[in-house]
Amino acid sequence: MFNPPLKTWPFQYYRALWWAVLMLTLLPAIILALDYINKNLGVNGLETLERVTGRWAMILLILTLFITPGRRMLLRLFRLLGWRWGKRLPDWNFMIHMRRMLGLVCFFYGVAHAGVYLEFDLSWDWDALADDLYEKPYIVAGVLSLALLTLLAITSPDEMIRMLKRNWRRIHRLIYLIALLTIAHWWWMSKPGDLRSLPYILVLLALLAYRVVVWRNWFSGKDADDGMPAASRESPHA
Amino acid sequence: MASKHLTENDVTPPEVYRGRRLFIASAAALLGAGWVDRQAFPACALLKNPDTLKAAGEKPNTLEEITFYNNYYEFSTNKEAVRILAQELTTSPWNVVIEGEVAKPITIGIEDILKKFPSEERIYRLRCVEGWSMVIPWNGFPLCHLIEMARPTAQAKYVEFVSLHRSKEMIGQRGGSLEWPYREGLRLDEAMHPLAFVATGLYGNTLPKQNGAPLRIVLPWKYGFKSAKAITHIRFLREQPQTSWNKIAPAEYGFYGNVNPEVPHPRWIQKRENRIGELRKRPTLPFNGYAEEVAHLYAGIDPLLQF
Repeated sequence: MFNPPLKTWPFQYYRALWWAVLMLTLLPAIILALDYINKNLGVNGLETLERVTGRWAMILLILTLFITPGRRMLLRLFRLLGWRWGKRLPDWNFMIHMRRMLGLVCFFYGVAHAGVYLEFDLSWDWDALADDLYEKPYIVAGVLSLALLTLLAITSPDEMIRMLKRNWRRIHRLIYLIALLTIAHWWWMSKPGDLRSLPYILVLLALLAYRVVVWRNWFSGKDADDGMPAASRESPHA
Repeated sequence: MASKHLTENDVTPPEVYRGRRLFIASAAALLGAGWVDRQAFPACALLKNPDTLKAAGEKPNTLEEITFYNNYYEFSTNKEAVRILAQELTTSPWNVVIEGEVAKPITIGIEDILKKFPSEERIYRLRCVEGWSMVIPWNGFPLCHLIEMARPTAQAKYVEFVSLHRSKEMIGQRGGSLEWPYREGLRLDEAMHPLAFVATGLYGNTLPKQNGAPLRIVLPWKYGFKSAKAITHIRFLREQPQTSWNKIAPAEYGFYGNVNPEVPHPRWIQKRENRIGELRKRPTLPFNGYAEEVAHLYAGIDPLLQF
């Protein structure tokens, strides 16, 4: 039965898990690249490239923002199950360590998405980009979103975290603004009646709503979770 | 209101109004509309450049491309799903009602239409308002022949096309964002233009259901939404009809719907287009490259106001 000892799981397997998650999240990009090489992108190849990269940037953004509430959900689940391991919040701290990688994969898909647009849609015509930005608010939202995400990617190494100290957390709260810009980007460009963006947008909104609830202390003061691995604040045997 | 039932035919002798029409046609000919067949009226004009009919120098899209990627809201907003969902449609028997400002309203079966009008091939560019385009070899006949048969009265200024409303088979009609049936329309002179076409076939075969079977309109200089599919009613009207997309989003879709890279759409970029089969976008041409043939129809119309 799945009941690993407290000290050895999952940190013993953390590296393997980290690589597995990275490979899994990069798999759609690998498949897309193979489809591109084999000319197997479907009837509208440009649309496929834009949609797949955009959708996976969105999925990775959702996964990144899911870490904080997800950790709590798993904690509750494991407490209910009554297993030895997983009853304490620090047991799930490894998820926080994985968040940076998920955020960087999100950035990778965002860059790929913008790259497809610049290469195939605009052919690197900067005047055309200026026209698009002037004409289409959703492109402005997309460009802003990726610009902010670039800032977060640059400030993601350990050295930057140490150097920026408290400002690091302030900067990285921009992820909420990025999420809102991404919602605007996708919703504004969806045609009436096409609700394919809706599930993603609703999940993202729920994840943002969770932050508002925690931040405003609407349900419980004790339970405030800032998403950082501050194990000391947790009671070990709840 | 007895006068409501009277048409121009009842008060104007045929010789008189035919003569009037002939005068208009001659005037059009003088203005450069080309040679006009004086034997029958309303007559189909000829194109300035007959090469226009074959999209010279352009490679047609494959049958697979044309039949796997369809914008057809009656079935789905997902273009890849239309091909499968459209197979539910019954296209036989099929009648087309021609009514309104005509000498005599008629109902005609699709078999009679196919018998009556000899089929010809037209290779046309199709530019969707959503920013993609194809080159399609249609089979069918010029719309002006159908109008000729319908004999519209002198009061007729517009023509409306009504598509099938059958939610039992058209799953997209069970909700969604549009009012059903789908309605489109043209000014009568636009409809009489020799490029305006009724498609009943594709690549030499019967028109597939996902492409608008059994008959649809094709207007290559306009965005695709103007080319109504699965038509059941053709109405000749005095006033401009309310078209489906114009009704739901008047700021986005005008009555004309002419392809124009200079008229922006809030969502889609109209300066460039994504030719199916090519990854890199190409520039969109005014009137989808048919400006030489059709631009004169819109003289004096500001495309930014009446788009």
